[in-house]
Parts: sequence; structure tokens; C-alpha cells
Amino acid sequence: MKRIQIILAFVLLVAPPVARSLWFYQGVYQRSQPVATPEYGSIQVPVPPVNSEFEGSQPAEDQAVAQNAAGKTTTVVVDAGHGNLYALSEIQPLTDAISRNGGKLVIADALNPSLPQYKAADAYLVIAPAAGFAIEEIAAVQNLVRQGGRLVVMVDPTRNGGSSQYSAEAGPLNAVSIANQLLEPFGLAFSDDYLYNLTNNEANFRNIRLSNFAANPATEGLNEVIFYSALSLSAAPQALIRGNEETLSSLTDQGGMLAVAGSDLQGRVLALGDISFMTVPYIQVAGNSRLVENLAAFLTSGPRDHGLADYPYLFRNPVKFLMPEGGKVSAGKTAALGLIHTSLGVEAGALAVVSEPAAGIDLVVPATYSEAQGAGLETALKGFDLEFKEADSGMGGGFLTTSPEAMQKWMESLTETPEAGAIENLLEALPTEESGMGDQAGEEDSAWLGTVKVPGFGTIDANGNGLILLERSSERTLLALLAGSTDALQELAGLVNSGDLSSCAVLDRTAVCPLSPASDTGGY
Amino acid sequence: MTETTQKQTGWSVWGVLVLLIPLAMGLGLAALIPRPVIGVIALDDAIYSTTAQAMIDQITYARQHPEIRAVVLVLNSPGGTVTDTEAVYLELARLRESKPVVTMIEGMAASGAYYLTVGTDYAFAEPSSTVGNVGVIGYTPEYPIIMDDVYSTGPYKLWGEPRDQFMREIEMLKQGFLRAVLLGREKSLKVGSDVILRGQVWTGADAVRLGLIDALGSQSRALDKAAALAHVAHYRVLDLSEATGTTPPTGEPAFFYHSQDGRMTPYPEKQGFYMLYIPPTEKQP
Repeated sequence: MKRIQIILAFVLLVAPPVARSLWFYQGVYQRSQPVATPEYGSIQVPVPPVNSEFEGSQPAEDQAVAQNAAGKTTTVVVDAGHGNLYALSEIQPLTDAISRNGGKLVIADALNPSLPQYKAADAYLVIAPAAGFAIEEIAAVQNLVRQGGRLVVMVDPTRNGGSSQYSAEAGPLNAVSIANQLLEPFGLAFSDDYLYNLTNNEANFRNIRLSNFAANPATEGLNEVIFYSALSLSAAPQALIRGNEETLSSLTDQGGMLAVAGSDLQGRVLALGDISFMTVPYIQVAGNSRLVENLAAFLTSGPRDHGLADYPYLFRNPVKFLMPEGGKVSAGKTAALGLIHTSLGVEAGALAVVSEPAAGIDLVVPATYSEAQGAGLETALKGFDLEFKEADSGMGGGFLTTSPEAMQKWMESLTETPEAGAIENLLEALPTEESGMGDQAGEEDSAWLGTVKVPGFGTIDANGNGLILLERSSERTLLALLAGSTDALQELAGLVNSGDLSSCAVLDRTAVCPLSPASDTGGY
Repeated sequence: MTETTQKQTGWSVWGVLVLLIPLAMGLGLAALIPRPVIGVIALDDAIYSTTAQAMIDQITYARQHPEIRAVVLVLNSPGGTVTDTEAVYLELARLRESKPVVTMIEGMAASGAYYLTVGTDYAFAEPSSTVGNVGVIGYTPEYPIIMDDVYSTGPYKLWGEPRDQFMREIEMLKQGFLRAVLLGREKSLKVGSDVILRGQVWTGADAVRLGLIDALGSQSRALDKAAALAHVAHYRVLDLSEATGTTPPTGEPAFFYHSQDGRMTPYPEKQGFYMLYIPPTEKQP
């Protein structure tokens, strides 16, 4: 009995805690595996690839030295007039490279054909514009490229207006749409996106590694470049640098070898969707510095074929005046020389005269029509294929005229009563068979009357018309200023000196400028 | 007869006493066995020094109190600073060595808050919750300059570090975040790192489909799951902020940037590294 009581007592003692335990606790928590946390110490700061492009042969530097030795200079106009979202100090690696390549940098507010910077421009560099281009500017850029100049347009998704640190106020246009105004005529266009690569990048998904290059001078010598924020090109006749399949566009989250740099068909226009690669410190990464050198070489590689409208920015060599030996220089011609020399600017140096063309110099030939037909200048002006036809003295005319003003004056002269002695004066002034064309010294100050047939233009009246002719070859540039008399030549020089040829009929390499027709001295 | 009755009665009284005493003692012993507690730690704010310290206090409390058999982390947070997030994450890892932790996402567990989520044993979310946003953000330091009236002993004494270094450190922090996700969700993830690192936010339903969390559910289900993982039943729920006396901060001016008109923006006040989701609702300050 006692035994039962003891057992019962034990059960009563144990049962409540056991029951409570079982009520609340149905097992013991035990982890199946230890809690794992990242080994933070093993995570390394990513290191950028070392720039090895300048090791060894330094090809870009060599090229720069070679170009400098040739003595050629090209003028690269850097746009700074369209709210551009960059500081000049940021692109110093590029501007330094341009200078090393013999390029002359001009920072310009605008690119209007009437402005000196446009006339001088061989290449135009536009970076992250935030203000739109005028229609005239777009046309001017197209003309520049058509004449063989170079155009480089660069934008960057971090400099696209709006949220950029450089522009708190977002305008209706962003840099991409403004840049496309310039690029679309050449078949190029930027996308308003950014590119990223989540799996193979340089320290950040937006820093894309690029190793797909098309064969092109701009990509010469490149194995890899890294763009630290880039956008893609939606249209490019030639894609020069492409991302890989893992490089995606933010617009679509799709890849497909997207282009970040491209050019037009002629290879004169370059569009790059990044600026960062040429800034410090990223220029030191991979082949970025080589790309900057290539870019500078591209900008300085295409001396533009300047037309007469670009005067005085026509010359690439030292400029000298060609004056035939033994010819007299009248006061009027001296004045013309002075005016032309002044118009050439300080870079022309001291006034220098040569009697014969020579290698390595560009020539300016100021001459009257009668001088132009003389032996001293005939060779130099041969390339213009001018045909001079002396006026029929018996008819007092009989020539074609392309000058409306001259034509009108001539018509008036037929209907008006000539002043007393005018006919006599005219007959006196006309060249005779004896004096003819041979006695140029004697005719230095008198007008040569006749017509000049100008290829591509027609036949012009020598009296009242001046000619400006441009001939360019790989060896030299020759500019000829021809007029009927030294007075007319002086007037033509004054016109050139003013830099305003708007009154002239200007073709690419020929300009016909109306001058005051000879009246008394000319003998009309 | 009377003697016999008395003997029998005496036996009965003694017998009853013999039984009652152990029963009373047994009941007393049973009363000493605590009812299991599921602790609740709620975060309805960004993760920064104040909120992180409050969470760490509660985690420590849970770890030190044996009656707390599991913890449910109730999150509604866009994340916060990297250092504070990592501090809470590591405290959670230590707690999980002895007790299971379940996350209940109510509203949002983005960026740093998702970092905490992957550091728990099981994660629920409401279907429309915002989940994910894996990654790190930071505002680059200023370009170093020198000032006329301030002298320092090195170029980065005043500015911390070069801007390029800042970018690389962000990448390093991102790698830490990614590893935490892969470790925490390795068995259930149905997408690769390339998808996770996009920094995208998903709804709770999508997050379940992608394996970023375990199930859709409510707080009561999270509590039940925590209890099940801890092998307890008939638990009591304890708000650990009350137990520790850590009340949510009021009028905290430190973390978010306030615009000039006094409005609180979703942008952090200070420069630094953040695991923070900033909804694209307004312009940066």
C-alpha cells in the first residue's frame, strides 16, 4: 500500500511540469547548420586595369612629333557657346593631345560662317551641348564637313542636362537631342540611354569595358577602353566601338553589341557617347589615353579645303607676295599690298616678296589684268585657265559683261551725251598697237579694257570687275587678286581687307567683285 | 468498530495528504516552467544609428532571455546606412545561433531592410509589399580643396577619400550584400546574381516567385512559423521594444534630408554609403 502511495505521489509531483512542458514545448531547437555570414575580409576593392598603352613604342607620341615636323597646323574649334556641360580643364588631356598633333585650339561661342572662327576652322569639337544650335550653325557645320573638315560630337549620360551637377535647370532639350541636330545629317544619332554591364565591369555596373573595335584610325592600337558612363548610338553608318552582349541599354535592358562610338560613311564625323574616358583619372585606365591620342589625330588629320569665303584662313605655309622681276610698283599697288598684308593678320609675319614660286611657300598675286598676261605671272596663273580678250577699240565695247552695274553704266553711256572731251580722253587712254600689252610699266596706272573668261563663271568685263582666284595643291596655296588697274586693285584689296565679300559673286574658289569702273583714267 | 473506522479515516487523511503534497509541489514546479515567448522586433523606419541601436538592444534581450524561443522581425523600412545595417545583420546572425528568426515584411523591406531579411530563417511578405532593391548608393565626396583658414595634415584629411576610391568601395560593399543574399537564400533563389544586382524592387508575390522570400502571409502566420521552427506551442507574444524600453524615436531629425519648407524627403541628410531605397518621387535635394 505504501509503495502505491509513493508511486502515486511521484506521478502527481512530476505530471504537472511534464504536462506543461509538453503543452508548450514540442522539441528542442537545434540548427541544422551554422549561421553563415559573408567573409567581409575577403572582399577586395576592385583595381582598374593598368594603362600599358604608353609603354614601349609610344606610337601616338611619335605621330605627334612627325606631324609637328611637317609644320602643318589645323585649327580645331572647341564649342563653348551652347551651355556645354563640361569644364575646359576636364578635357585637358584631349586639348594637350591636339596641341601635340600640331592643332591650334580656338574656343568659340558660335560657328557662324561670317565669324573668323568658322573661317579658320578645320575641325569642330562639340561636347555635351545644353543649348540648341541655330539653323545657320547646323548648315555651317555641314559645310565644314563637306569641305573635308572634321566634326567630333561627344555626349555623356551624366552630362545630359536635367539632373547634371552642371545644370540644375533642365531645358526642353537635353544634350542628346541637341547633339543629334548636328549628327543626323550625317546618319548618326545618339540614344537617350546609358549603358551598363552587371557581370563584367570596371568597379561599377555603369563602367563598361569595351574591346570590340572596327578597323579605323580612331581605334588604331586599341585593345580595350573603359567608358565610365556611356550612352549608345541609335544610328551609325560605321560603328567603331561596340559593347559586348552583356552590355545593356537602360532603355530596353537589352544588349546586342551596342555601339558607343561611330562615324559617318566618309569618316569625317565622329560621335562618342562618353566624355569620362578622357578625364583624369580615367584617362590612365586601359587604352583610354591611346583613344584620346587617336581622337586628337582625327581632329587634326583633315585640313579643310577652305573656300574663298574663308579668307584669310586659306594658307598653311608662310605667305609671300609674288611680284614679277623688273616690274614697277606704283603707289596704288603698294597700297594694295599693304591692305592685303594687313588682312592676312599678324601670323603672316613680315611682308615678303618673291619673284618666282618656290616650294613650301604660299603665294598671293596682286596684279592688274595686263600684268596677269605678262610673262612674269603667266606661269603662276596658268592653272586658272583665264582667257583675256582685249576690247575692240573701234567698237568701244562688244564684250560680254556679267556685272549688272557695269552693264547699266554702259547702257547709260550709250544714251547720255558725253561730256566735252570725254571721247578724246577715252581714245587717248586705249591701248594702241604700239604700246599694246607689252609695255606694262607704261600701263601700270591705266585700266586694261577687255573681257576675261573665267572657267566656271563666264566672261566678265575687266572694267568694273575684280577677280579673286584661289588655287590649292598639296604643295601650295595661291591666291590671285586681279583688277583692271592699280586703283581697282587697291579697291579690291580694300574689299578683301574688310573681310566682307558679300558684295561679290563667290564660288568655291572664284570670286568676282564689282569695283568702281574706270571713268577718266580708264578712258571711257 | 469505531477504532477501525478511525484507523481507516486516519489512513484516508494521511493518504490524501500524501497525494496532495506532491501534486501541489508538481503544480508548483510546473509553474516554474515558463510559457514560451515569441519576441517581436518591429522596424518602421530607416536603419540608422538610433533605430539600429534599438534593434540591437532588442536582439540582445531576446538572446539573453531563455523564455524567448524565437523572434519575428516585422519590417517596413527602405533600408539605411551600410554600417548600421551590417551591425544589425551581424547581431541577428548571433541570435540565430540559438533561436530562429522569422521576417514579416509589412509594406517594404528594401535594400538594407532586405539585407536583414536574408539574415533570417524564413521570410513572409504581404502580397503588395516592396521587396528587394539590392545594392548600395552613395554621394561622391567633394573634390579636395584647400582653404585659407583651415589647415589639415593631408589632402584627404578633410575630404575622406578620393572620388575614384569611393566608387570602388561601393562596389566592395555591393559584393558583401550579394554574398549575404546568396548565403541567406542559397537554397531557394530562382534567379542569378545578374538579376539580383539590378537593384530592382519587386512585389511580395514576385519576390516569392523569384525565391527572394519564402511565402506570402500575415504577422500571425509569421509568429506561428517562428513557433514551429522553435518547436513551441501556445506561445505568448512579447513586443521587445516594450520589454527593453526602447521606444521608436520621435522627431528624429538626423537621417532624412528636410527641404527648406520643412518637408521630409526620401534622401539621406549626410554623405556616405547607404543601402537605401529612394523612391523616384521627387528631385534630389
